[in-house]
Amino acid sequence: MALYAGIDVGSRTTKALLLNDEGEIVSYHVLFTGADPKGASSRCLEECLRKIGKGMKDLEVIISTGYGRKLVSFATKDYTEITCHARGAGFYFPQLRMVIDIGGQDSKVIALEDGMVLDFVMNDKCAAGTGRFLEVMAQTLEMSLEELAQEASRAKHAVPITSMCTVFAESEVISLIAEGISRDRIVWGLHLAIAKRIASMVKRLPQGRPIVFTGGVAKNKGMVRALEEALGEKLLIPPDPQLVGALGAALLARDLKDEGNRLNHYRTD
Amino acid sequence: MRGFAYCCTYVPLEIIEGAGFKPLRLLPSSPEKEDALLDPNFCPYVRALLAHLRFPQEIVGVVLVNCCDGMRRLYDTLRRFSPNLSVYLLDVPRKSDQEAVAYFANILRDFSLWLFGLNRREVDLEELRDKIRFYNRRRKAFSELLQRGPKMGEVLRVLKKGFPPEEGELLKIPLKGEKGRKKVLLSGSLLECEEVVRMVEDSGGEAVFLDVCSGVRGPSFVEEKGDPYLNLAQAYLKKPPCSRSFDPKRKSFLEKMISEVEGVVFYTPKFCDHYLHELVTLRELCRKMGRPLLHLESDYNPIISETMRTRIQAFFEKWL
Amino acid sequence: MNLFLKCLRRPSFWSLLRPLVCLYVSKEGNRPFTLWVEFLCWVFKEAWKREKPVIWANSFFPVEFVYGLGGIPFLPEIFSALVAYFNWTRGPIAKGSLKTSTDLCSFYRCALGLKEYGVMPKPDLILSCSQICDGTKAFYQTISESLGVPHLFVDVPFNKDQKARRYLKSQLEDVYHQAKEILGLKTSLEDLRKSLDMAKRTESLMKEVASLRKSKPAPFPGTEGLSYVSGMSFWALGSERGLRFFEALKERVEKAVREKKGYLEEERFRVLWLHHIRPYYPNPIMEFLKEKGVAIAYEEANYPWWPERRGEDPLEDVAEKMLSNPWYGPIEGRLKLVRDLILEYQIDGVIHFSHWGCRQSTGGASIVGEMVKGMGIPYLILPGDGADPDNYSPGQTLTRLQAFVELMERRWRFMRV
Repeated sequence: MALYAGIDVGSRTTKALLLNDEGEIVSYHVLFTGADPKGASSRCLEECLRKIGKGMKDLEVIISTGYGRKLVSFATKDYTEITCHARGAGFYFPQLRMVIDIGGQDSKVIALEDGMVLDFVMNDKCAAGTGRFLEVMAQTLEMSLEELAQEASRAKHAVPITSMCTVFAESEVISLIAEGISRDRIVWGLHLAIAKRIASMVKRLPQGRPIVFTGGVAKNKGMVRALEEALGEKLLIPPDPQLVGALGAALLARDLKDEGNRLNHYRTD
Repeated sequence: MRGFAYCCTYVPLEIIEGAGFKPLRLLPSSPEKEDALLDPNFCPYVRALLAHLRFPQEIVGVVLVNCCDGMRRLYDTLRRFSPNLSVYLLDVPRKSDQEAVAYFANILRDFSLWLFGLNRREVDLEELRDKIRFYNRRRKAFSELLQRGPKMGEVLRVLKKGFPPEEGELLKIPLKGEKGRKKVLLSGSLLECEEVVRMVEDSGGEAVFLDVCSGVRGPSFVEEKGDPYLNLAQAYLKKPPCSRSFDPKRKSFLEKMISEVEGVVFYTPKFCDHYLHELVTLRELCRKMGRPLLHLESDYNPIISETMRTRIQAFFEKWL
Repeated sequence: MNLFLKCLRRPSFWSLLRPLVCLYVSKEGNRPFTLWVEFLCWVFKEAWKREKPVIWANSFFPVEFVYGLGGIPFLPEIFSALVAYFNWTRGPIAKGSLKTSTDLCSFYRCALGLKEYGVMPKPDLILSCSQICDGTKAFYQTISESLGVPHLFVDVPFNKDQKARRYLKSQLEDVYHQAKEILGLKTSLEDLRKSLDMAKRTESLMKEVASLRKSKPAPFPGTEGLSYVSGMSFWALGSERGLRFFEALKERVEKAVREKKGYLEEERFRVLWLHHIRPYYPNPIMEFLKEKGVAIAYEEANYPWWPERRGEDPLEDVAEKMLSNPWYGPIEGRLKLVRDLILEYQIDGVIHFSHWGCRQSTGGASIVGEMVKGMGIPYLILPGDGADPDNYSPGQTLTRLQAFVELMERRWRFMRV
């Protein structure tokens, strides 16, 4: 069986995913990247292969993506997360026109047309608007991320959070706690603040629908709710949003095999 | 009367009123800002204006000035993305010599034609002269109030509505009571939050001069006889200069004010080229004259933040 | 370090350095670049010699005035770019930032800091104009106060009508006469005419080069256009050296066009670079684009946007040139320029370099983008910093560039099928 691998080396987690010749997902694995992205990528891929009793020799093409993509020395080629998330989201939703990806340390919005990337906007300079923002706030509020998400998915009212910066927002949250504002209002306010940032990124791009929400933060139902409120419409969520980048990379690996070593245009119909 | 908005004290309000509009100073009361069309590292006042003017209420249009790169891009962005708003850019010279005055008089004439036309009126020079006289009376009343030593926080609150303030508003401004406060110069660009001045007062200071765009930098008198455009050009260009002006008087103006106070509070929006460059000169002046300087950076927020409050209080505790 | 700085201030250092450096660079066979290096050595030698008045000017000030006055022009903004090229800006930027704020353009903060090192020859006069950004007027005003040097300023109107031209021309006349008086010069308007005439001849050559660069494959690298070509156009216009430089440049580009030789081995995409600058400190951006077969076919910085000088009234010509500057005034000027460049240079993609602190340019990036994307051309806003290597994030920059290249590749494939 020929296998095609996609490895997404993020700053927090590394994901590996395998496809067979028919384009079916046969295995995947996620682990923490830690301080050694190179080591993490090989361990992740090896574990992925081990789960189905296969080895590196069974791999036809390997595509790497994510911030650590250049460190995957055994990859055939690398593509950016933009191309991979667009490709991966299109696997589940072929008619998609936009992808919102909120990862641990960055967020991006991608506009597509006929399955191709048309334009994109990235926020990778600032923690506000990323999973990191929520982690910091969860700590400040002495909650787990799961509790934070649950609280946000059912809160009724929000207190506006005005600070643009994660560090200042943290101070603002502490002040709000001291003033006796209820936790659920703060939590909902925080989610809406991220949603507002993402909404302004969306506004910069050619508008198309439907929108697919990917990345680890898409598992947070409170964030889904906040984004839907900020954008005024329902979002499509893939079965495992955290794996979309690795899936896209694996699909591109399969595309590459089809066309030899040339790039293939892809359409999702 | 329909409203016509303006953002800068170089816009002669006499022309706006003469054309039959009510001049409205654009100072959004919300800190909401536009982030999609302009980068976050852009003047926060311009971004707040864009957010505010997306759905303009009460106003027919706005006159902007080419005072800075931010305002020029606001002019471009508004024309493209808010086509229902009438937008005019007033080309105000940076100099105030006779050639600049002559050029500005022509600019004001063109602006007047456009604005009167927008209100379907013929330009009426006598109406303009009448407005000049009316505003001169207001300026006189304001100047008399300043002599009596009003509370500057209240002055700023009233000035936010427009300069010179309406006489009815002037009467509501309380006078300072206490003596023995530390005199400070409050200088800089737009001061959208009058609570800053109150905070200065609460910390034991007294803002003796309000050298800010939302402060008292208007002309003191406009000549009433003769060509109103030339008179307006003369008075407005020769009024106390702001940092944008290429005017050697600016430095001596600052020096004089600093010599009469014990400390300086410099309030600038983030990303403001004019004032952040002036900070170099101001720091040097304060150092030479032995005056402590506090630099406050604002992200355009009419509500004072805790961090700003702390800085002001600490400044007075430490330096004065 | 102090010894090195002392050497930089000696005219003899530049006299000695000139033949050595020119010999070294001439091995590359790039005559225009050799002439640039020669020009710099000449400027620094003459400026430190102090036999002629040293006049600082901002980039968009008509530098031909300085030559017409018999002065030696020194351009702090271009000097900061040079210092960035050698990766020496960290110290000066840190010093400059202490005086003000990191919100400001790094070229000006660098120049503020360089003043403290004493490596810029002190001017006898500063000439500046309000084009094309606020920072320029503010910086020169500040520095003139700090140095105690007279500063003559030309306020370029926003409007472009007859009244604006009259106002601008009268200021140019005033500046010329006041400069003569301040410097105690006996030059005449005839000397100014000569340098303006030289500028006119040079501008014709610049137009020819611009036209030659429309060829496919791109005969001349945009990365060089954004550095010393642009530098010469600001610093040497109106001088004999400037004329010779553009003659040599034209020769080089003509040869490449004749031989149908592109500067890239394989040109896959042609990109238009927006903004007058690029990151000058060592960085992998240009190498990355080269590897991917992306040619910077042209850059807005070098487009000869001005009307032909008529020559009867040279000051009127200068005023007309300044008023036709597409980056000053309403954005429609820049939009038209970008649109024309995309069509004339057969552009596949546009990169807008958004330099930190540059409001005049980044403020229009969305509007320009709207137009470019409306033409069906991929558009990338690339945030960065032209002079401050500490404000450069390699991973983030290369991710954006790589994603942009992938976008162009996939669109190209789709359009072919």
